[in-house]
Amino acid sequence: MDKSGGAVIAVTGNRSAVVDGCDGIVDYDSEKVILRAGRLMVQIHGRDLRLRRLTENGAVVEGVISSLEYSY
Amino acid sequence: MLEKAYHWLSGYVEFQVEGDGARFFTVAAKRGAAFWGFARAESKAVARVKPRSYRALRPLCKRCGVRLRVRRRGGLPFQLRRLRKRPGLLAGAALAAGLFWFLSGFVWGVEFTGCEKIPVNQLAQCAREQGVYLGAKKRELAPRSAANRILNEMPQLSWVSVNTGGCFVQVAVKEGAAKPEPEKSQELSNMVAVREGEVVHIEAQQGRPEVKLGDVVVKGQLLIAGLYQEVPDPYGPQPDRLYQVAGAARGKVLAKTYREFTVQVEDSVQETQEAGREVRLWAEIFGLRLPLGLWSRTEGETQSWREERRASLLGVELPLALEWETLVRLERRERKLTKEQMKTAALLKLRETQRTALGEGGSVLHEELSFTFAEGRCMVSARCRCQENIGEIQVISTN
Repeated sequence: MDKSGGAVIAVTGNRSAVVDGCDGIVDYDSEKVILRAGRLMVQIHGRDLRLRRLTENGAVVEGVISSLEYSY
Repeated sequence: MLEKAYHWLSGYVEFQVEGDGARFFTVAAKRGAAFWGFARAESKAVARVKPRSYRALRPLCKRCGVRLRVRRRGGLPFQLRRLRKRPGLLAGAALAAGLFWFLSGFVWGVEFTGCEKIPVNQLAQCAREQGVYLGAKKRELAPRSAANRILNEMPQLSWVSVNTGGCFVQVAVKEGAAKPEPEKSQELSNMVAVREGEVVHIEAQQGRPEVKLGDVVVKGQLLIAGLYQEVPDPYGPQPDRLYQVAGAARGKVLAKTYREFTVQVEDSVQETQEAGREVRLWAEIFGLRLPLGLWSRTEGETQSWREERRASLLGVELPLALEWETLVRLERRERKLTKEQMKTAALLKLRETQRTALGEGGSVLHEELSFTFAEGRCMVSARCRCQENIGEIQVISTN
């Protein structure tokens, strides 16, 4: 999490995304992973997605990422 | 890879969640649990967690309305727990480790390199006496000291090294050239005749020959002079001063000589004959020879030899062997000889005497033999024409 309180999302190519400052997962399957980051909802779309790690304030998603979407 | 090793060492529980997995994981993660290995099995969420964290998940199940089911427990702590239930396996592993430690305290192989003229068996015997052998205790092995002692025991070696590598020992040697006898060429000497004869060959390596081919010489006559004066060419210019030569006389003077030999043999000979044999079996384990049987001490004269069969694995000899020792009891018996046998024995003895008397390069050119039998003895007399080296070094004393 950065100084402003927002989540830091690092996307490597279209293969993995590391979300630092994640408050939890809302839903996940092989085509989408929805994470909660404060008031924001982060939706990761793609195929063969899988949640690799989940800790108290972080998550790692791997797979073929096609889009990243934010919503309130 | 490192992560996998860490998870294996710390252990893990793989479980499946029946119900709202997303909510459960979020709540559990907020409680400090770390998940990995997410997957789907029969549309149910599957994940892995540390064993300690898994126990902390139980109270959350009711709150999140889910049920957890353990699919698998893995990692080192669980494997050790499984082993604890099988003490035999643990004891076996401990025994194997102990056996490995014990056996690695012995020498399992000795290799000899560098032998060209010296037989390997001779070197192996010497090394064995110095404590380097198959089955020797490694802690009693002192490579440097053993190498020095082998070098002292075998003067024909110029360099020895005993190298150890784990349970194997290499004895590397280098053979030296034999030390030549010092030639006393500075000593003033002449060569004189040791017996009468007719000169047939002169080979003066140092000094001046004083006799010619065909000369008949007497005992003590000068053959090759080491101390002489230059003889000038009578038809050339005469030198003002004749040079003097003083040195050692060396060479060979062969002459035809006359010799008489007489030998005699008895009509009976003492012979050693086999009076029975016994085979004894030994086992050798790590250099320790164990008798496989009970035997009494053998009295009298015996002759023995050993055959060894050594166990080997993948071409490497092991310090385990079976040894057959054959012991032959001998007894002396007197055998009477016939006249023909006495003549053969006498002739054999005569040849030995001639060979010794004539020395290297000497030979008998012609001989007349006469046999006499009297009082149980056979006497043979030989009058011989020989060819032999009659030159002998006679040192000139300068004091």
